Amino acid sequence: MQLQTLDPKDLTIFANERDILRDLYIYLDYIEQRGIKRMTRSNEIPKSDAIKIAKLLGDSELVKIAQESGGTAWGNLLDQLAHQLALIDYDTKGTYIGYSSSAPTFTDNYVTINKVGLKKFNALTPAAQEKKILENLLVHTARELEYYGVLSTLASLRTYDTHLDQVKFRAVRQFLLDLLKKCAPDVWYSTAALVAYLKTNHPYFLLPENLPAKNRWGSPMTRYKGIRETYDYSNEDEILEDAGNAFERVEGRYVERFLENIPLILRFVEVAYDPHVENNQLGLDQLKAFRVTARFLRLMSGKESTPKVTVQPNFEVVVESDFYPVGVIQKIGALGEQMSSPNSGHGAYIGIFQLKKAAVAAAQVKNPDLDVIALLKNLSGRDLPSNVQIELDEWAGHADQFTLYEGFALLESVNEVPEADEFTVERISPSLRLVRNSGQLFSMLEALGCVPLRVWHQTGELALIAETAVSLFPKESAADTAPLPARPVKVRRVVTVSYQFPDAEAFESIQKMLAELHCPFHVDSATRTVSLQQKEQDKFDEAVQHLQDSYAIEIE
Amino acid sequence: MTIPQLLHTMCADLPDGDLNAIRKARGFSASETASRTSFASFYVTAVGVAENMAGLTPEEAITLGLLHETGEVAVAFFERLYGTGQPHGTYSQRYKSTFDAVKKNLVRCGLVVMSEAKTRSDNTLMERWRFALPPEFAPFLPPLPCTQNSSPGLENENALRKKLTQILGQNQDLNDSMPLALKSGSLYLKDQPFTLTAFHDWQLFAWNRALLTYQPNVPASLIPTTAALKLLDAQAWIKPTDIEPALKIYSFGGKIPPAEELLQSGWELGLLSRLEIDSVPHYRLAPVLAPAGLNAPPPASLDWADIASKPGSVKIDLRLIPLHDLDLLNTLTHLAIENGALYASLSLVKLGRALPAQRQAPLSLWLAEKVPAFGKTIATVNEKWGKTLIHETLLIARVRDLSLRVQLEREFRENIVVLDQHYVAFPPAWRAEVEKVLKKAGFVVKTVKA
Repeated sequence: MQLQTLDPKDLTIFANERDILRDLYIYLDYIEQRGIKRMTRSNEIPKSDAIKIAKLLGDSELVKIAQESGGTAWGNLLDQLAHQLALIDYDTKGTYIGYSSSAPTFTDNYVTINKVGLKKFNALTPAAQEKKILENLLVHTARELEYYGVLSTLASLRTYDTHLDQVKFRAVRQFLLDLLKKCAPDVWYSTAALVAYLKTNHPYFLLPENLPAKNRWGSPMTRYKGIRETYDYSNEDEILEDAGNAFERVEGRYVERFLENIPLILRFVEVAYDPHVENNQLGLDQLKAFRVTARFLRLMSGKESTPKVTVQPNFEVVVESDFYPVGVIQKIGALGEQMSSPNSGHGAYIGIFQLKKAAVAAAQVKNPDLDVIALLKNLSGRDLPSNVQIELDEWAGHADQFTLYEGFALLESVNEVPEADEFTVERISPSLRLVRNSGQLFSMLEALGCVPLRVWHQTGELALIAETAVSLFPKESAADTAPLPARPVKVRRVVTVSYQFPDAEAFESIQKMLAELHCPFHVDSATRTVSLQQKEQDKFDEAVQHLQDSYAIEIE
Repeated sequence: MTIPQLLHTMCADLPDGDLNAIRKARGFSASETASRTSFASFYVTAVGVAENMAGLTPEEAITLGLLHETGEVAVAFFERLYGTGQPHGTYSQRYKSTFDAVKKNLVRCGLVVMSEAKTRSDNTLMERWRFALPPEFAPFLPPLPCTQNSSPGLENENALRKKLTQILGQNQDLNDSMPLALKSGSLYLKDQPFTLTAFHDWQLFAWNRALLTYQPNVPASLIPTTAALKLLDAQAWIKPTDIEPALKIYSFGGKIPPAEELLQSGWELGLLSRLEIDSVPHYRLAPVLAPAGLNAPPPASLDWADIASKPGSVKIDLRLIPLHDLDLLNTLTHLAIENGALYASLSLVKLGRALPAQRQAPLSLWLAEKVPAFGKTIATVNEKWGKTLIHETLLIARVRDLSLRVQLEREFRENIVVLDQHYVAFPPAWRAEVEKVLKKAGFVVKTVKA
């Protein structure tokens, strides 16, 4: 197949930068760690989860879309893909709750990981995983002429009662992919040339040559009947088979829409659009050019390549792979932090990890049989730099520097208690033992007349031990003798003036007047005393002034 | 809504007519109600409160007492005082007349504050009204009529002694759901060990049972027996006829026995004391059951204890033993019935579990002195006690790194105990903090579970 090449310098080039396999694993991790409860009415992923997933995918554009519209097409694709690949489970049928329900309801529809399915998928090589995804998309992708793809920009055609039902789309897609395999990598080809090639050599690649003359209702049919190029409902735009460009108008449009669907999603191609045509128009030849990527040809060649792992003296581990090597990433990721951007672009995967002491020790704790040095040697296929090997040796030793015993009791005894041997897990010192089944041990010691004391410590603080007991733990007297740290207290000096009234009437009047003047005061009804701060003295004097017609108040 | 919020909302929203009514009733001047904001301050002053309280009916005063205890209430609360307009119909229809009466008699006379609760629910306005008594007015509430008399009155122990004979298998009551019985040498009230608190619970239970006043879905505070305990005083004497109206208000909606019957029954169960004043029985709360004194010297003799009938044991006379001594014996000794009598004998396990102070109590000292076996065993227990300890609810960690151990000791001082060169113990709540220190120092936790 010889196709005309094209210089795309005046075209708008688009390449998918998302790695579907990597994103699929991010989605699965999210479900495993946080879980998703799907929406009751629509059974879609809730907006909050969609935003969080978009953030994890590391794409600000996806985050923006999720925030604006409550979800993303890419996120929905990952969700469908995971379900179709049997990696997750959730209800897709729902229940019709009442007689008048027009749609099913999905109550408490939680997405869960299908552990068996995921285990099987994990066991595949990265290339096999990509092929599995491809196979799934070949089968389940909606018809490109009539439906938008996840990354589509070209408008879909309006169709009604067409021969497209006769088309075996999986076979058509596979045929076109087989054609693309013959293209040279990284060379821009004209889409029009590909359509012309198909018109000449494979004119029936989409619609079969022999099509029924009538539809199912007995009405006469033409080859392209029912395929509309405009959105008005007249029949004036019907495509006639004998029109010179009928193939370009139908099959040509299909090729354009096919290219910007599965091959673009899987980063098999990059595409170039005519910059002068607005999107979502039904015009012809808008996707002007395409080029196939090397990763597509590598995948199609069937040759499996193992991920290349390099351990550098600065403790960085570089992982290179044609496809997202999840197994290797999980192993190395557990030993450190990922340094490079997880987006691998359209090329092969390159990840850089920094080995960390805490992570190595944690991995060692999780799996005591883990030999980190052997693992890295095995993955990289060579010896490790000597400084890295020495450090890793030391780091692995950190795993048992701190061992926490949970759910055990501590037996503290002045005298030797040989009866406790069968309950002992660790002998800390001659007087201390770590024991299990403490209830049983306590009963046994009681029966033996050892007069054991059971001390229940509080969750937040140590119980104080009676003074007469012999123990390493703090005694009751410690509470009295322990000097409490001096608590800083700032004291404000307030001078209060009190006035005692001889009769109830004057006492009430002054209260009312003070309240009227918004003066804060305290009263003691028993002693008929009004108290106020010294700074409010002016208001009190003013109150006295107001009452001078009724009372001649004299202050002693 | 808090009561100050209710008050401020009321002062802000109150119609002028109601405001003027309050002003007149409490004796405020027009200038004091001129500002709605400052009126809230005037409202809670003592001005006119005592006079208005004096004008209330006894039932209204008691209801305000209950309102003070309850806090914020809806209009239905006042059904106990003013009844309802009609027994059926919507909430608004039922409580319209009640609302009018509360507003006229209590709100407009400036004693009760009311305001609409701003809730998101779609309740009707009548359901949203809330009422409360400002706590500043509580000292002005008139007390129940009572009599002061220094006489100790008469206490009744018959029911208590009868209950104790259940231990011996006598006076069994099949309807008593809290039977007193011996299980493995210890005395139990139903399923809980016999203690003074448990016994007091039984008294209350028996009181309710005697009067058949228990009703499901009625708050415990509104049960007549609980209301009576709340209304009665530990010092002053009250006669049944004086407490009757208060019981009707407090226990509204429940089954209320006659006050005489209620108080008589409480006296029979040992919960109340009784005194005849002018041939009329008066009641007050009986002294609280107190635990045995721990620091007193040993008694010379105990009239309820017989140490001669069986060597090494004490025969207990259930007609005479004080409840606090029975409680202590239950803690220290093995109890058993022999030949229709209750005996307390040695129990090394129980003595070991008892607190040192309990082993040093006057009763223990008396036992040690009078019964040699007790004396010997108590001495042995005192010697061994505190030398074998089992610590529970602790996290124990082996720390191999010395610098880490020192750092943990420095950070958690009094909350960590160094057991050995390599082991420390700390309470579980400090786990997160310890892990933070470890993470910061670059260490990880290896966990071993039991």
